[in-house]
Amino acid sequence: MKKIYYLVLTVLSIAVLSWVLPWLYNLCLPVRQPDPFVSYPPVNDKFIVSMPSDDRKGEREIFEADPFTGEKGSTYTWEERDSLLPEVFIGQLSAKGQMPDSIKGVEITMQVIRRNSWVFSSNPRDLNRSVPTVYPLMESLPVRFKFEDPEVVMTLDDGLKIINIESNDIDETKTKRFAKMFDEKGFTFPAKEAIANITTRKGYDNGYLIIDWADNLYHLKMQANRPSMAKIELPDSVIPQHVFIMENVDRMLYGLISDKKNNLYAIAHDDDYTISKLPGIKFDPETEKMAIVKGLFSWNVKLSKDDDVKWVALNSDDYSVLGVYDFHHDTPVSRIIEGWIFPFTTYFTTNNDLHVYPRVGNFSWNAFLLNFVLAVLVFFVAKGKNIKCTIGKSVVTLIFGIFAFIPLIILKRAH
Amino acid sequence: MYSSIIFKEWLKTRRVFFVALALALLVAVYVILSFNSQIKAHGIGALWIAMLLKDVSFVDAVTYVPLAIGVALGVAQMAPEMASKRLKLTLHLPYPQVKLVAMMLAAGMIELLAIYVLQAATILIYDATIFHPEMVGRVFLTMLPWYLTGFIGYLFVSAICLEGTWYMRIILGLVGIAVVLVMYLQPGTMAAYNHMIITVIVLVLVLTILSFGSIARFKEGHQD
Repeated sequence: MKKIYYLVLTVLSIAVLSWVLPWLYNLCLPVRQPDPFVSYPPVNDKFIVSMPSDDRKGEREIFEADPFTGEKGSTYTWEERDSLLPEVFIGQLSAKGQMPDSIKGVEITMQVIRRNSWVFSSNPRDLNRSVPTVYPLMESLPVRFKFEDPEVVMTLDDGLKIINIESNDIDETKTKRFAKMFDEKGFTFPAKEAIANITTRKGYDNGYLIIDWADNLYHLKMQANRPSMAKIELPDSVIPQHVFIMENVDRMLYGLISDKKNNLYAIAHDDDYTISKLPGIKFDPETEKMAIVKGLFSWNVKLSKDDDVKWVALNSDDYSVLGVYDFHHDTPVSRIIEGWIFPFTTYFTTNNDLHVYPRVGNFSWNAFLLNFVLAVLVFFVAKGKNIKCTIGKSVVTLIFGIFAFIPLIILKRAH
Repeated sequence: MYSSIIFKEWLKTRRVFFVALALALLVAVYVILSFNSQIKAHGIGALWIAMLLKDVSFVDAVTYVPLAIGVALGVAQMAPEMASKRLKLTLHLPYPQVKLVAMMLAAGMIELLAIYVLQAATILIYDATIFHPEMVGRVFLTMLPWYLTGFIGYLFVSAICLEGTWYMRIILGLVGIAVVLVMYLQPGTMAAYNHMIITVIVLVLVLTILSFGSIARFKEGHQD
């Protein structure tokens, strides 16, 4: 029993230390790596890059970059940058009376910019989490033209059910009505994903985009308590993986689709649900962050994954690629040193999901040197009567390094 | 002998058991009452939306209660054994040592289980009257890691109390704190621990070994 006790305590200590020690290390040596601000101006066909200052207060380096090679060009002052990006710095330019009257022959006013601009963001945390498969259903055509909190929810498991929130009972009338529509449209249960923007603070409601079990895409709205449903025809090669509903001020899109090949598509807000591939973009929503800043003339799409950031500028009219800019964060010294100390890291949470479970990563061969030294130390310090046991402890230290060294030395004294 | 051991454990823990049960049920009633006041203030629809879209479980008040109860029960049950080295007398009872320790732990864990089941049932039965079954299931999966943490706290405290040296008590305490910390990494997220529920249940079973080890060390003379 005592042997099992020490074994359990040692294994538990190694597991705990492989989480606690790297966590403490990163707590003591935090790393701040802000991304540069990159935008594609309508007035010159080059990216404007504002590099972050090291100490937040220092001067930022602002320069233009070639839209395809990324080659650094002229440098600018803050004021010059503001005037190059009138859609972004509209507030500052208006306050100074420096707003241009027109850009590329298009009259520019505050209203025009606001009506044609929106921001969209996607974070892996929004997808990689435990989500309920009970979907609130909003009335898209409210009687008093003011959105209200949903009164019913739907479930799309082995069939459709509409449940009244107030009574927590199935609404038989609506269920029959909606089920008939789902049947007519050939929906295959259960739904893989159903996405809507449930809020009363919006101008209009685009309802749900739903991926069924057979990878078909549907658009569903509840209008005057009745279902309005359409099957969205996708190109044969597109197998939808995730959908994103949009309710932007310009009413140009129903939303976006990412497919299993990590391509991104826009669904036009027209009767045919026209699908347009967004070129130059490879996006895995489960591992990458995406931010889209849409302006009058271009889309600035920012894709971030680990230390790599990529900006793609697309033409607002035809989605053609205007430019691509890549940026890579250098590995900080503290992370390099960490790799020489810890052979691996155990972590329970990540920035990419909201699940808690043990994961092992950040493997580093560099730590083998320290592991070897510690294994030799264990051989001599923790030496017991049983040579096999001593060799075993050394081997464990060689593999688990400092995480095994500490408990083996400490527990040796407890014997 | 079997019933005598159970009775001995009950005598040690009955006061703490009833206080803990009262606390657990009071917290459950508090959760229900605060829920009712939220319904009156915002309407049931807003609460459904909050739970479905904003990860609000409405059971935050329960978070640390199972841990506190587990620790209190562990201390109440095992600390008297170490007072004046009474554990020596216990170990001299004409009953196999392993079975004896197993009975002690089982008695404590069954008491904990009773308290946790009553508290969870009170909350979940109420929830079932106003929420969809899947939402009730998510509330249960949100609370389950907290109850398992209560068992973890109980088992570490038991092992610490039965340990004879301060050196080892500190080691067990530090490891215990780290394990408990893992169980509170995403307190504001519903059903965040779904992927490791089985792992935690296995861990709880494995942690019972710590008390057996502490007693084995005690018998060997590892005492301050």
